Amino acid sequence: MIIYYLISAAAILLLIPFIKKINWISYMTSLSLFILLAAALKLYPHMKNNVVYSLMDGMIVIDSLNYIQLVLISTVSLIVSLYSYGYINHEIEEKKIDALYAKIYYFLFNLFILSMLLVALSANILVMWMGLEATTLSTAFLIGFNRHKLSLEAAWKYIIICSVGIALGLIGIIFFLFSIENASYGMINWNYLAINPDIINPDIAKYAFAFVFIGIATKAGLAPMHTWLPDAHSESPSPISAMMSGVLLNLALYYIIRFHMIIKNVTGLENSRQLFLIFGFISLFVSSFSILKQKNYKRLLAFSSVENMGIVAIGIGIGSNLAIYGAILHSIIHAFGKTLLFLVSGNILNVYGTKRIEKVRNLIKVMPINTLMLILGVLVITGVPPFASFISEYSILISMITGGNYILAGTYLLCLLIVFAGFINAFIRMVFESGDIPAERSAMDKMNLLPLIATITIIFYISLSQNQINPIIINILNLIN
Amino acid sequence: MAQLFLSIIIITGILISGTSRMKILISSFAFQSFAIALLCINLGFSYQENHYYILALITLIIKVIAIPFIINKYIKMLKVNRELNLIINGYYSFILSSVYIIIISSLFGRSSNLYFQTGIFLVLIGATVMIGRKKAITQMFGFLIIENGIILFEISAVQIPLILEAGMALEVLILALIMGVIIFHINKTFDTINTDFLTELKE
Repeated sequence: MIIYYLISAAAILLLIPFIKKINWISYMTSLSLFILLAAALKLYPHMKNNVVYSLMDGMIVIDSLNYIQLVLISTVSLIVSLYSYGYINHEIEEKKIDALYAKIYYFLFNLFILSMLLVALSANILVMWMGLEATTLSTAFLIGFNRHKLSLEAAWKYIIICSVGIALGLIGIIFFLFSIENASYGMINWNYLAINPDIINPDIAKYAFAFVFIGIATKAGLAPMHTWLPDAHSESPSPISAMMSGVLLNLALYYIIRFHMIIKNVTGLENSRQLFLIFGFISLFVSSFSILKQKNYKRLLAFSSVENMGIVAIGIGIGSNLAIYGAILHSIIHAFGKTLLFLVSGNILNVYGTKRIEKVRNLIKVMPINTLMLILGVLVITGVPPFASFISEYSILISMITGGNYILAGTYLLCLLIVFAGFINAFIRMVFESGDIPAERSAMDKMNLLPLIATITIIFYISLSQNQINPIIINILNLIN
Repeated sequence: MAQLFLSIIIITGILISGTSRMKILISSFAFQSFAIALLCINLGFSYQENHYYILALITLIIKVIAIPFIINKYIKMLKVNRELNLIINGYYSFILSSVYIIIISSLFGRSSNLYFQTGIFLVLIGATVMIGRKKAITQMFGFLIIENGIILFEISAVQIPLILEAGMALEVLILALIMGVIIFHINKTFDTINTDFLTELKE
């Protein structure tokens, strides 16, 4: 089934220059992503029974861990492609972009999804690296899509910092190839290396993992390598922010987790997960204080992505079953929560025309439906029950306390509290404070609601019935531990 | 033979780190890539493997011909000839590069893998160029030199399948193109390609 998607996506990429109507391109994109989602869901019974699925002579290997990534990519991309339909049409009506730029948008959008799939599905660590590099290439121009000063600066920062990060990652991978005795092409698949740790030389693999971690964590937005992230996520068009924040960060972290799963079996390197813990805490700390002083709501959401990636990294770093359960669940719920928030922020930006928090006032009167979504999204991201983010953050906390790490647990709680305060401080004022803006309901409130409703439905589904997700996460626990 | 090419690579690296003229920068980059291509041919000759010949061909097409050609076009379009006000000027760059050589030979001198040492040198030079220059187009050069260093790592490590090598080289080409497009737009909106002016995003 996945093959059908690949064929249809390739067809779209080839056909885009020849199609006159932009709407047709967006219908085709959504349809192809629908095929991808159907393909992903069709694999669910296999994944529940912990079957490792392999296609095309082992070039594509799917187990529970990358199955989650596949589902996230397909769902979030489908939602975002539905949103893009209204978004691009609105931009064309406002004469901000012309048909050519709309075509470039859809071309790069499809290329972006394809390269993410390459990372998620491939078994070869070098091919996965190429996919990550391709995501940088396809998103760089999307970030600078608006072509004003700020977005160009963000795009330049992104392409320089991320490509250097990825290059460091490649140096790490080549070190890693040095460490394998008699390495050949078939041996650098993660599914082979994870069960054959004896062929890896621990002395070199140690440095290799450090390089890979630092390099790819740049892409995953862990502090202190996160500096491109707030700029890129705040300046890119909102649908692209949603995709990058929801899926791409997860995917980069997935790549590091794969490496970790290989390295931890090597004798002498069992403690490689400490790196996750250290960088996770730095991210949590830096981003929580940055959230407090933000004046731009999209930047605030971007810093929140750094924070949430930090939480996932901490969960992996603690390494007990409960913590990893929390980390995986958190990465899933964060993907949808952040997608919801970025899409809502795109709608707000359309109505108010500004990203400054102090200039957005009286939101509840102007766009009540979007405000409801905004508040729900804030509750999801800050981890309020009954949403699954509460369960995930709570289980990470509990596993810290049972492990005896009281200082870490205290810092963690403090940072979460600061994040909560920062979010509530910014968004409550945007929603309820009455400013000079006339309190008339905007006609644009009803635009582009379908993707938002779909996202919130998925969030409620994940939060309230965990029967579907838990078996998959338990399979992942068995893989990682 | 291999040592000759490696020394050419090192000398061009030092030249790149110090010069501020765009023309010299481009031609020494092309010359360096040419030396890498010859190195691949030399390796193919001594190991009797076709793999290296094709790698040399890819390097020749993309790094010796395509990328310098593209950058030459950009430079004509943007009308930059040389770079003034370097953060690290030529004099200090030469000293820095000699310091790199001393550090590398004292740390890795015992392993006889010269490719590896040259690769590290190129990565460091690339990083220096990226940090020490202000023009966007020279920062792009820094990245390309890092990529050259990685190629040297690669040919000394395992044999990577050709399709992957070609993919990586192609990605470098596309990266250069995309960076060029972004530089073009930066020049259009800011009226300069000096990255000192890219400071509006902070907090």
